[in-house]
Amino acid sequence: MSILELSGVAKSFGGLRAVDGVHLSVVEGSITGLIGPNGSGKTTLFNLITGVQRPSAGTIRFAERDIQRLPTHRIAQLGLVRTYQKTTVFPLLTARENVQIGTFLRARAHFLAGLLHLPAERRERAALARDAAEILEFLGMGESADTPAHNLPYGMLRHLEIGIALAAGPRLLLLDEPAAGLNPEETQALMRTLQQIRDRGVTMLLVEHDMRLVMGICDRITVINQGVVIAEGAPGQVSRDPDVIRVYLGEDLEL
Amino acid sequence: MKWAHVPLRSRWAWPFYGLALLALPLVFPGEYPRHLLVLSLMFAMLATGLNVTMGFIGYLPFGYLIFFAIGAYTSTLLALHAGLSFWLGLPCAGIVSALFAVGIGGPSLRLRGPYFAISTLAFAEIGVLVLNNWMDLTRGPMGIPGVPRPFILLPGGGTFVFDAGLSWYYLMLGILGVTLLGVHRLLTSRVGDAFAAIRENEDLAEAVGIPTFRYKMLGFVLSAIIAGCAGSAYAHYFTIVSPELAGFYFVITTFTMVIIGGQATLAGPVLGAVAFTLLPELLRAAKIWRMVIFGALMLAGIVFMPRGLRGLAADAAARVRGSGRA
Repeated sequence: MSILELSGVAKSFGGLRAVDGVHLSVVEGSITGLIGPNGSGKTTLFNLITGVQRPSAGTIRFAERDIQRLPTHRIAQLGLVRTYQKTTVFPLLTARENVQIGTFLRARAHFLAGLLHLPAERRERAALARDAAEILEFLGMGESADTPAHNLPYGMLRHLEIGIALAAGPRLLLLDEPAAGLNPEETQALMRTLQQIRDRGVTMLLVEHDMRLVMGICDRITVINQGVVIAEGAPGQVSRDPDVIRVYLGEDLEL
Repeated sequence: MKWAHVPLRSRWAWPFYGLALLALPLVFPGEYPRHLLVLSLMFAMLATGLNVTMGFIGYLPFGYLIFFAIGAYTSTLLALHAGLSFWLGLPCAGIVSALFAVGIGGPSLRLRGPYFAISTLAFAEIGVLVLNNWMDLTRGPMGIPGVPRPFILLPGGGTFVFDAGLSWYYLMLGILGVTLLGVHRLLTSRVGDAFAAIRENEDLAEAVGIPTFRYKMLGFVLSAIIAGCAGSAYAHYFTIVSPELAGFYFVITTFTMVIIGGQATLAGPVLGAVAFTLLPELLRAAKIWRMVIFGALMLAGIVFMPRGLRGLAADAAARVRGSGRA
């Protein structure tokens, strides 16, 4: 039922307890939002889940496996892929090449088959290249496939990041502020895209400050403050929670 | 045409390069010009090896030349003490260099940017100190002379010794050709994608499931193998080795060749090596102004051809074809 399960996860930096005993679960097939004020530990939690940092305590289970000691690339191979808060792509490569690199972990052909350019390996590469092209079409970037990433407009870059992660064929996608810096129309487009990605069977956990997006598409929301979960539930429930209103949403939220 | 990723798009150009290289020593008769050609091929190999780590992965291995020296000493010591021929010494040099690369890369490749560069440099300095002071084995700064020339047994019963510039030219051309073919194969497989991903954005590469450390190690070891083989060839051509092989002159020369030639391309380091070996000779007519002109040309090269000679050639070819993809 739940694809990701955090229990008692903690992380201290010296005396600072950035994440302090977090319990969190993400239901398979859902979009789960993770919100909270700046510095509340959201990005640290993402780093812990994806193996960029090791938790000081607690367990992280993904698809029935403990992953808290695995390196990032192993976690990605299991099907848990993330994007970053700051836009991160491969800047000098084209959009197409960016997404193709995302397919890397799905290649099954042996390393030597690649060196010898054996037919099976070439077929596999061609199939993965078609997948990459399809993802670009899905994201509405077919026209820009051969543009180097550093020449793409910002809104497209944010889509490209998601495309790279999608190309890895994730079961769970972690999105760190996907709407940051987008204008309202671009945010609307992003919301539609995320819903389509969910319809393709990809579960998502996202950190986001744009409440219109969070309340609009999330099935469940977890709120953390100072490294502790203070509320958890459906959007309507969380947005009326007095603690959440006090520390984060404020009194005059209009949706 | 984009310099940063796909190493070779102009497949048609390679037979042309090959023929030109085969004919080159016939156009320049005489021992000295041929010696320079052999030297440029050795540097081409050395620069190609450096380019794997520096150009394709984007890590700057300042201590790279220690692998050249390790290969040269390995081959020399095996020839003098164990009687191994060049044909066995060459692969042994590659293997020993590879082992050292694993040892040096283990800690160094966990560092990034200048920290990686300095770490490899520190290991290389240790290596140079050992070569200079382990007198019993290396004879220190005096070096080891008398490295035997390679030879092959002819079907008639005689032997053919590789001692002249011409035979060495074709021998080196063969070794370089195999090296370039191997590097090309590697880079056009998904290893090349992994290298490009690491160079462009290592954290993202790791996040999409590329085991970055393993691929960095693969590239670093490959660099060391190529340098080690170049060192072995150098030892058996000049018949003497010394700690100078990992010294300032070789470091500066090799790095400059890669930068001037064009990083992250296959032909770039080869072009850089040939230009950088032959140009000072062509400038001899300028007498005392020679090195001044050479320095000015180098500076101009860096300023006006940021993508190196290979980039310049690619732009020119694109213009000739009239394609708008430059």
